[in-house]
Amino acid sequence: MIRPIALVMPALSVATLFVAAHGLASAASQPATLDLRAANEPLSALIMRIAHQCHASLAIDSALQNALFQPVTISDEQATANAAWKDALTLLANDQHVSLALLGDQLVVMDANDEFRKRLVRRTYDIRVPTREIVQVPGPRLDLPVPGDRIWDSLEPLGYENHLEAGGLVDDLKHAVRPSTWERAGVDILLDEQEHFLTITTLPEIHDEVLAYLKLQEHRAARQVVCRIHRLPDGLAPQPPTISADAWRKLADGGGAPIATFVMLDAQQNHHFCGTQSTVTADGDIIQGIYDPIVSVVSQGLSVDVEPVVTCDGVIATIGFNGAAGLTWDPTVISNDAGKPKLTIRTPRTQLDLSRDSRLIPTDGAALVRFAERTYALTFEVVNLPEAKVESKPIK
Amino acid sequence: MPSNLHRALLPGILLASACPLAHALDTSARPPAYLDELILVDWQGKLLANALDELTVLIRKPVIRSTAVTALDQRTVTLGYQHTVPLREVLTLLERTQHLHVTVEEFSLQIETDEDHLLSSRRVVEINLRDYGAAFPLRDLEAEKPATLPAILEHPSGGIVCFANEHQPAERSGTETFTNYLNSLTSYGFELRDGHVAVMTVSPAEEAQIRAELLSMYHITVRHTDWRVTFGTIAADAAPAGGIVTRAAADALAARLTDAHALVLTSMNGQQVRVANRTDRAYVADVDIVAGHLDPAIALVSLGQSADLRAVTGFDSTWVHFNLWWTIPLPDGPGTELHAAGALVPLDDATVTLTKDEKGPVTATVTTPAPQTTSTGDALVLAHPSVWTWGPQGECHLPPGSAMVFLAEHPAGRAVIILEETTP
Repeated sequence: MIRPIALVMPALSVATLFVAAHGLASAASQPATLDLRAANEPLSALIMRIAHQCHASLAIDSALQNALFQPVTISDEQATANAAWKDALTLLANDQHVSLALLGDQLVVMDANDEFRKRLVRRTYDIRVPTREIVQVPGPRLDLPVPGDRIWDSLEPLGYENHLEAGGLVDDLKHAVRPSTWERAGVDILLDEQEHFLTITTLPEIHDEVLAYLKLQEHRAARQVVCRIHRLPDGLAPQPPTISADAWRKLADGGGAPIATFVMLDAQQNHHFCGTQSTVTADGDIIQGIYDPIVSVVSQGLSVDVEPVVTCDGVIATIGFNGAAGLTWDPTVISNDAGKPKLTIRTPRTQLDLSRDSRLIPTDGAALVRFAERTYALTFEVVNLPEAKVESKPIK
Repeated sequence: MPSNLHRALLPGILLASACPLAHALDTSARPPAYLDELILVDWQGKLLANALDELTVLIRKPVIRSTAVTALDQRTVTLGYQHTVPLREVLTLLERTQHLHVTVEEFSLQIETDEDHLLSSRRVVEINLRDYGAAFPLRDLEAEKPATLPAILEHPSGGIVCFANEHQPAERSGTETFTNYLNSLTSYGFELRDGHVAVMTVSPAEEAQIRAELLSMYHITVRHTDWRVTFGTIAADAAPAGGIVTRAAADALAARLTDAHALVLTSMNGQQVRVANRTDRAYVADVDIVAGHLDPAIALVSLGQSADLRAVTGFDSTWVHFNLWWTIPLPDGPGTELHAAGALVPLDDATVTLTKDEKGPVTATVTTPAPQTTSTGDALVLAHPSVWTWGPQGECHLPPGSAMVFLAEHPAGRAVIILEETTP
């Protein structure tokens, strides 16, 4: 065994190993390829041959002092007989844990792990945007309230979750970006307790890849849908529930501006409500012989609740349509036997247009909702951040 | 220096300066001239002690070694040159390959291990975390919500609740965020004093790095966004399609709006902020009967506009959670009812007379006093306001230089709300 001898006379052995570095007259240069073949010989011999190919002298990290005597075998393949400079450096760093750099006339040989650690940089990333929760905002109903009963407002949240959690983001990041590096000594990834910030310690070039990955996640999370509602002319001929982009262009031609425009995220339930609200005395109780009025709030207008899901074929939207119009009042007066009014109750009457269903609306097409002579069109424009990458291919 | 030798040295010098790991030697403000002296060294597996002895001879200056360096008796140096090079270059490479720290003085060289140098350069420092915003935990700025019609009624029924599903305010911590970060720096122990002063033992370089990272976190926290929310109306035939548009298009639209009002907000990164321009009107909305008297119930209705935002700056967009609200009184609503409430005659004030003729059944006659007029009882007027209201809420991502235009029907045609980020 070589090693025990080296330990007894380390200086002499190391000096002997590098004696061939003397007498090089040419200036050092980086060759295009390197011959890395080694057949069970000391690492130092391989390094010396590389130095010779570079016409360079050697400067060797003291941390490699013992490693120089370790036997090395690199198979006799074309890839290693004429390895490109960059590939050769990568192979030596990964397999032999040595880092080479040509510095003037010196071939500097360092411990690859130490060199790796020296290059580590720590940066903090704000990840709230790609991991923000989706808040469902269901819309109200416009049904006439029963006086005295508490009729509440919102439709049920559909509850479809499309939320990337911070912990999941960290796991995905480790798989997607240089997975082999995250276990190396010194490399670290920390998520703060509030899950707002990622503090990552890694190489600068890997930070660039991390940033690109986080931007991609933000682009994915930022997919949103602008919904526009149009009121089409009364008396329109019956139409299918969804129409294509061409059919919609023809139908909408000259139709005017939408009556509502609102925005929501992909898979977020949101709504548009705009209308009038009035309070009325809708009923009366008798308390201690006195009429006690019961007040109700009556709303009319347009309440449209939508949850869109963007797909390759268009937008699948669950639409809850509530339209209340034509509100009239029928007063009822309660009088005493002398004809003196005691209480005036107004009983409202309103026309309700209600529907709730799910439809696949083709890209740039429209969903049509019809009630008697009234027809409404809903369009869904998918909005991505600029330069967002398409992450899925069409099935067709 | 011969010109051909200079040309030979030049690539080495350029590469050395281009090397990202090249660093300056530890010298005084005026480096001694002997650093530029040319020497020739060729250490091939030479013992470090012998190499330093040789260096002493070459530079004719003492090379003072620390105890730890002296103890490296088995350490060998492989560092060789084919020609003379400046002493500066040799020392730089010696530092790098031997993990030493060289201090160049006027009349000597001091050589110690990297670890020795790091430990000797560490000293106690105090970092006031308040300087990095620890005393400013980002708080959501809640405010009174606009009152909608069903508010404060004993038996409200119907109606719409605005601001439903409002975003839950995030829990913020001040010092805790920073102490968690400092705890992650496991190589430095630190102590927190007075709740915000971190005391630790670090070198100047370590302190600079920690301060730089605290500053980075602070800048993320205080990064602010400015917003303008414009409310106005436009004729139906002149209305746009709305949606996400460029700011130029949004500003052009704002110039065309009738009765435009703009609300301006600024928020720290992730903070909920609110602004309103509104009139609150109290009115008698209901009445309770208490001991035979009318007890009015007062409600509030708010008129005007308000905007509630939470914005977080992302990498390529700003995510904003918004609650916008706009209510105007309707001049031609169902009208205000006058409701006069009076007391009914209580039943126990009536008299019952029983009569019976000789052969007939008993007849009961109920006699009540004359009905009381309303003037003897309480009278009350209930108001029944009517309003037009619109409240877009939700979330969107706005790329830089863009705005969101909302549309709704309005008595004057279309109501328009423009939400745009105006951060320079």
